[in-house]
Amino acid sequence: MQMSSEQASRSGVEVAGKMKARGKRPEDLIALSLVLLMAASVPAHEPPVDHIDREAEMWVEDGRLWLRYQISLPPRAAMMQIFEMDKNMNGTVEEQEREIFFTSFGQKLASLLRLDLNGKRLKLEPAGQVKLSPPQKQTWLFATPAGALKPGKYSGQLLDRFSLNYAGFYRYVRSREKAESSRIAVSASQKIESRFRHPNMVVLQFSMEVPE
Amino acid sequence: MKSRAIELRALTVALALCSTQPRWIYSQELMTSDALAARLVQQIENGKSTTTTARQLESWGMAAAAACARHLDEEKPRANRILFRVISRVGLARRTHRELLEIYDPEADRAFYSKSSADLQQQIAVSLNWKVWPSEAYEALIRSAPAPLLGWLLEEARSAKPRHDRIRRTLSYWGWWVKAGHERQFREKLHLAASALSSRPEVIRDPATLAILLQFAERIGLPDSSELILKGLSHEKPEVRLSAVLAAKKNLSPKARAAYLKAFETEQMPSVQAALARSGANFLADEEMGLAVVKLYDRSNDMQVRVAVLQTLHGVRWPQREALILKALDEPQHEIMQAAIQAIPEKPDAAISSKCISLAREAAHPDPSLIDALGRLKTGKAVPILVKWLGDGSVLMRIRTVLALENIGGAAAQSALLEQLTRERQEIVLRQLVRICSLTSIPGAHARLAELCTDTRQKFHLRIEAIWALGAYDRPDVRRFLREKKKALKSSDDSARASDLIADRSDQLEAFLIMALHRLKEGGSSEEVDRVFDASTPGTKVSMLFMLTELKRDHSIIGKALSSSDYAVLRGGVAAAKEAGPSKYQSRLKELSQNPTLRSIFSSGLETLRLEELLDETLAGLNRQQEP
Repeated sequence: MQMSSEQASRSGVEVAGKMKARGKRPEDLIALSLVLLMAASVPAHEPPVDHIDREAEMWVEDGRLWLRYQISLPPRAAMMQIFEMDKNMNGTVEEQEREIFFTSFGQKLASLLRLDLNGKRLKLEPAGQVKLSPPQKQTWLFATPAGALKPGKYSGQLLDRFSLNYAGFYRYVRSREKAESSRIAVSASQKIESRFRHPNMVVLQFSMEVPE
Repeated sequence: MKSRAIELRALTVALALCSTQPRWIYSQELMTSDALAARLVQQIENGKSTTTTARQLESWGMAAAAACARHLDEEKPRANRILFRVISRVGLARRTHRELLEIYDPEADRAFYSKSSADLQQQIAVSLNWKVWPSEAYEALIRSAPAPLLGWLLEEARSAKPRHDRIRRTLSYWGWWVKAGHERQFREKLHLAASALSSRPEVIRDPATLAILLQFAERIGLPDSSELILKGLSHEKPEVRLSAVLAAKKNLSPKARAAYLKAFETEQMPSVQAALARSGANFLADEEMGLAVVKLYDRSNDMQVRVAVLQTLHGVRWPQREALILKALDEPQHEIMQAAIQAIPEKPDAAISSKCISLAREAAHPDPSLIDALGRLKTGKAVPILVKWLGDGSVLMRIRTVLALENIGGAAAQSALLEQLTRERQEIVLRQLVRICSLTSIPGAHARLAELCTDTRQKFHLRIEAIWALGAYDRPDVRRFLREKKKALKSSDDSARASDLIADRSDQLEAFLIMALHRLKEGGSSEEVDRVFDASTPGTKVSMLFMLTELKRDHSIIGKALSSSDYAVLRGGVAAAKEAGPSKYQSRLKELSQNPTLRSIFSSGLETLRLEELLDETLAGLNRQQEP
């Protein structure tokens, strides 16, 4: 079961909007810094393949690294997800079909978002349900397993292999609210190399500190 | 539905309390769509910027329209304009498939499909009773409150004093909405409204309204608009006659058709004559119509009319076509002669062919239309001229010339193409030449193709396309070359994959190498095709299927593609199945053709890859084969 659009926008669209509006680097809290780099070489897709725009945000809380990952599907790609959900091909998506699809899709996304911290691959796990909001946005939350991170400094890389399959515009969100509430500051910069005005594969490189 | 909403809210609360969730997500100060709408109105009243609030509000989907509707007030025109803009933008949801609304914007689903939909739409439609309609209201009403607006249109059709300006603007916006494939609920009812309006003298007495009504009829595909067209064709105002001509399609009644044909002889206004000429393209195999169009050429001295007649000749099968082209090729006016050159069909009669060659010989510089026309002649006589132009032309001219030589074919053309492949330096031209090598196996081109594959100064796409083209040359040295390249890729692969950063590059490179080897039926390559396909991105999968389509060869990846939930890959699978022998895939193709979700895509503007057409063609071909 997924959340309604109203609930989704609490953590999704609306929050992102606020973040964008206010998002300035808080000078007093420097614990995590991100340097976002694009690794772009050749076109990752052919023109007929649907584009999917995405938005990402990372932070540390309760000793875990969290990733909010929002994708905006174009209507055809969203319809093709319905096509995939509708196993009995009756034109209606039953609750169970929907749940099976989103559980499996969340796992797939988690496997395509490859996180390396200090050179070691660390698994990201879906945390909670996907939040769906208009027009066709899916907001996912992933996190490293509890207890997997010890206090200390880390340098890391998040490789978004889903963006390799479905390229699109990309945005990294910085949240002052989140930084304040979790006592974590985010410093982000991004460099986008693109031949087709959007990144081919999103690669985030960052350093961070997990507090005691 | 209500219990489900409660259930959803309960789940949210539960999740919010769940310890695995980070605090920040649920500790935000929440602003509902109602609160945002109130803030928006306040900002408007205080003369502040509303951009951010409006954007936040819009992210609520149709709930935002409901919130804005509560603030509509006839006495507050400035606020109304901004509120209607928000209502209009979120109302775009109405063009979305219902299946998506149910999942992503349940409020929109309720607004447009449930029994209570009238309430919300009625709230938005409050402006229908206002003395002045804001210009933003039209689009907003069509998108977010179509049912009351339709009711209003039908009332106007019954009115003794219809409000022409409002009718015109409504029909104008709504017509485009339908034409763009956005209308999901009211197509048939709009036909009824158009018929009702057309039958009222009070409505069609106004020339501007009649003209818009004719355009509306065309845009919504009104099944029987003959009476309306008849009225339009005989109207004194040229703009009405023009709209009537544009609305004329194949299914005219005998009376309307006679009036339409008559217009070719009687119409005096050049703009309407030109529209008549262009509308001839709707009647490709109608000889009577062809004769009328050709006569119009003789009757008119206006250049735009004559050019329009010649432009109509593309693809038509009227017997008068070639005589007219030949005549126009002698016209002194440059525009007319150019239009005549562009109208030259494939393999025309000897007189046109010889005239075209003589024009090309006389030409001082390479001419784009003449280059294309020479290609369509499909005669070796055109090759020396094209070869000469190949040497003098710009990049775009060279591309055209290369394509013209490809079209002509034969030894002389192929020899010229091989020479160009050797000396050409521009990537865009080289890609065309490589593609031609792949399709026609130009003798002797394999050495240059191998050079291109290994030339690191060349663009990656050119290099992989050269690899695929090499697969068209079944020679031991080519096989050896491709095997070595694949081996080299494998050895460099481990370090490349370790970083993952060049996964996309190696993915495509490997796919093209494997497909080239598969093209040569190299042992073991078929299994490799399977393996690479499974690991590839959708873009590479599409490329592999495209190559398989070119080979017209069956492979198990076709079956996989036909089960894909990626539209482009699915389409690639259908195209490959069609060429490989579709009978094996008949049941799956039928299943796809009848799938309700795909049918929903087909019936909308989302069908840009012609999947429906391809499925229909493939299944029709199968049916023909299976007929006794």
